[in-house]
Amino acid sequence: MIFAKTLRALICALLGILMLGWLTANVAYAQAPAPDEETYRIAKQLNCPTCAGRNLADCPTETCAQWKAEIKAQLDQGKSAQEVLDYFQTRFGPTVLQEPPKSGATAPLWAAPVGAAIVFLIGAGLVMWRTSQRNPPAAPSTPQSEGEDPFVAALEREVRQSE
Amino acid sequence: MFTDLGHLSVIFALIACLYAAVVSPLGAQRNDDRLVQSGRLAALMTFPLVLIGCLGLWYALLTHDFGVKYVADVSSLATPIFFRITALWGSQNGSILFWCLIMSAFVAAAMVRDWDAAGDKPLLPYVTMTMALVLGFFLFLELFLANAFLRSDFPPQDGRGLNPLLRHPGMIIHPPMLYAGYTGLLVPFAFCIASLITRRSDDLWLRSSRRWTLVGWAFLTAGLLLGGRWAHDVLGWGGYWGWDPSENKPLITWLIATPFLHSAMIQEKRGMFKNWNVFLMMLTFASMFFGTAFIRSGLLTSVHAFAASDIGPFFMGAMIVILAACAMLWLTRLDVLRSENKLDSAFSREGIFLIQNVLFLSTSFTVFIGTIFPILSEAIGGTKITVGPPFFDQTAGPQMAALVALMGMAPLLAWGKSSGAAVSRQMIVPAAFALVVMIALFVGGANQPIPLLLFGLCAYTLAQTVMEYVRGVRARMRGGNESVPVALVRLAQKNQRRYGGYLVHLGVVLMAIGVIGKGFYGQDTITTPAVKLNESFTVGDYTFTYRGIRPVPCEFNDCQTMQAMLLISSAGDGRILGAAFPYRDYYPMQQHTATIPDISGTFNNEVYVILAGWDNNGATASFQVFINPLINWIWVGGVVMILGFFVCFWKVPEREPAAAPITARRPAPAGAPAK
Amino acid sequence: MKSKPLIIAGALAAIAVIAGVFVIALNLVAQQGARPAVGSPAPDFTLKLYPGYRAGLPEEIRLSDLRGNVVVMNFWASWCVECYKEADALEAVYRKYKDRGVIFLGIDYLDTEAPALAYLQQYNITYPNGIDLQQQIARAYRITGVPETFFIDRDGIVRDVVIAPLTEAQLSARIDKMLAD
Repeated sequence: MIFAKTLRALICALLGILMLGWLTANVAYAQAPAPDEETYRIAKQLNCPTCAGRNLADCPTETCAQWKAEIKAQLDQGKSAQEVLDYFQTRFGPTVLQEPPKSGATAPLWAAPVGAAIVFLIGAGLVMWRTSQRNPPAAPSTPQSEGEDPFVAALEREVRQSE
Repeated sequence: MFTDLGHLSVIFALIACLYAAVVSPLGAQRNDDRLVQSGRLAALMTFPLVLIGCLGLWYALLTHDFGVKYVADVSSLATPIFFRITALWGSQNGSILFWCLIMSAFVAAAMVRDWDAAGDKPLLPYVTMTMALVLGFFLFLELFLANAFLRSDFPPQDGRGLNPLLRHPGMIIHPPMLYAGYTGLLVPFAFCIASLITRRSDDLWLRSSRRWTLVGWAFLTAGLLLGGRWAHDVLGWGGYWGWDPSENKPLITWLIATPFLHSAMIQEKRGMFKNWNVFLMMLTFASMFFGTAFIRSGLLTSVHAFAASDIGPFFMGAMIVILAACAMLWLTRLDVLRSENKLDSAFSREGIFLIQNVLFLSTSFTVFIGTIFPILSEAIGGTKITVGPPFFDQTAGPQMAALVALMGMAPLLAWGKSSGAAVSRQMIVPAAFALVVMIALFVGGANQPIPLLLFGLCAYTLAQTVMEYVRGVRARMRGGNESVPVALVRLAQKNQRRYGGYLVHLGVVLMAIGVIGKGFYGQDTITTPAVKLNESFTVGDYTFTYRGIRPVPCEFNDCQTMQAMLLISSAGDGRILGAAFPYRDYYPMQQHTATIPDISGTFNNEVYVILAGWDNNGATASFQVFINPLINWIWVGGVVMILGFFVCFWKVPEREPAAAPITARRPAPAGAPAK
Repeated sequence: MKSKPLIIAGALAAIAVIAGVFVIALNLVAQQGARPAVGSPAPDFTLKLYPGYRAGLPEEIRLSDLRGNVVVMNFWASWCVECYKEADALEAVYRKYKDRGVIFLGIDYLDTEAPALAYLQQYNITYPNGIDLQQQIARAYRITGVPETFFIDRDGIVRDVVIAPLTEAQLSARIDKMLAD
């Protein structure tokens, strides 16, 4: 049936867009132009310990300066960015990270939007299917005029009808 | 004395609300119009009464009456008159009173409207009741839990002064806009409840409240935009949105109100999705209420953290009562709200609206879960997780991109059923345009795949929306002898909602361009180690030379300002481009430092410089520099969105009787003007 | 309607969830306000001591292991300007009382190791100091900032809380009182 096919196609297309968006968002993050300072980049991923809602990089206080010095010291020792972040997380708790880890206790947080989107889209599909089953099919709503683009014809009719 | 009069007036306003909430439905039950009108009058009176209350508080503010605790909290002898006025909503207690003022204004406007002419008199008693109950709740909250009129036993000599962050035009106008947005949405909610109570199965409530929904939505949009602008100009973060809980709350409401605006159209045109609209309306109101509760009870510390008080449990109780009442009301009316039509095809405007709706809701849910997760994690696991911008960028971002894509598809689909061939044909030109844009960008150096794709998407949707205007104008010109500008104006006049809506879409695309530019191509860095006097550093295409730091007179008389000067030159050829003067205001009274950026650069490339610190009397200083490409398109897009709203909203005088909706399956109700 | 029971169930579930969230959240707010009150038992914790600052104690100590001693718990940080004022006093009083069954514990709050050790060295601190891993101790004691000092008697009961820098006299007075019991 044409309806089933178009419904499927539409939902697939949208899921496709969403999936593409999700997969590529992470890639995008990795490809974003990095500022010169590695310390600064790592500091951006940590929270300022003494102010609410700001990241470590933007914070001008003494505490933040010390933390940034620690990041630099560890980088100079040859640690990787992930190791530095792990150090801060172990010492101060996961509250210090700007981005919650994707595994472990915070996995549900990341799964929730994906799950919600999928559930909602399936729900929409179901609603569409159910409301289409309700009454016997009616006549097509846009009768076509000869030799003209049906879309433009409908538009012209609309425009003229509203005068 | 005047202040106490104001206090008394607010008490009377609460009494008026209670009276209206009881008498109006009573009048409906007994079929006694006098009771209904009496209730209506009482509800109407709330506005002047609350206004007198505000005037009383303003009087205290303007006369430096520090005996009133609130006045001492938000102002001082040094506060200029203008800020003494805006200080009314500077802190929790006063802002609740101000919220009540705006809400009562909407209540009064709803009561004043000509109910007979509008033909929806049956709804009046219950609209009155609902609005009076909600307003009464907030008045009760104000009077008993957050009283701005409280006096202290030992009035201080001087007040603390207004929070420095609130002394910026953006911050002054942002709360009133948001409050108007939230309270404006109370009107359609009241109509919805009234329709449910009276067991109506038609779309009267939608049609009657349509303009109010639009107004509420527009204010909410403006409030969000202004908040972003304020954050950008004054908070010194280099950005416009921090995914902070108090920013997310109005966003969540906006993400529910916007799909509601769209799906309301489906019900009007095709009599479908009635239950869905009721659900969306209730969800909008719930998000408004829940959002206010969260912020005001101080549950989540955020950038604008209001002090925690006892209002939390009170809000919670009210929330449960409201949810239970709404649920009961709706569930008992499910059979009344059956759809009149069937969905002919998913490949139709209804189909795509439904998909758009669920996408908006899932985005809204994403922002919601990110906002409350820290609390959940602390309650359940004991560790407080911070959910920062990276989470929202990666989860809400793609969903919003998908919505922009949908915006480019929806205009092509007709009500009922669309022909795939016709739709594809209409996509050719915009898709070609998008391809050309992408190639041009790639050749120009933008070689990251994601932003390139996103720009292509924006180009497509932009072209598609513009083509709508082109097609419409062409169709008009084929019919008569109009010039292009006249045809355009007439087109918009005759189809305000459609072409106003497209203008809003255009604004959204422009904003998206700004978001993508800043998000993917923004650069920022901090100077480490600190820069010595007359030394230079380079960020992107710009070289900055530090020329010194000096104290300058502060804008207000309770702060001290240190201003730095930097010379900006082009990194390539050393040409001098200008100078930057970022500064820091220190407010000793509030122990607060405001870091005010210097914003310069070209329209398409914003240079944003912050003075991060200095040492040795300015021998060295450190700076944080942001290069924000395309960020100004966000503000341009915002203005276009508001323009679009005006096109939708502006009442065009009708010379002939109103036209029937175009592809409606049902005849238009007799005598109902297009409101 | 067939789906009515489902919808009712769903609605009630939603209400329950939201109510639950609010209850949890408000519980948290209530909790956040309540610090260990004077007279209540001091919450137990584990402290990982800095190398060189163990004063004969094992690397990880529990508060309960110190039962029988008077314990003075001081929250500090190397970036805390107010803490500088009391650093000398704390060390001096510690030395005065350390053979009388009084233990000082320095709890380092939101600090990185290098500046912390530098601070301890600068003020010649010898009493046990350790890092509050994952801020668990700070949360258990609901501190609002630094410096904060808790005085715990031999039975593990909190006898006093001071949210300000202390002088030698103030420290000694409180310790004497706890030793006298």
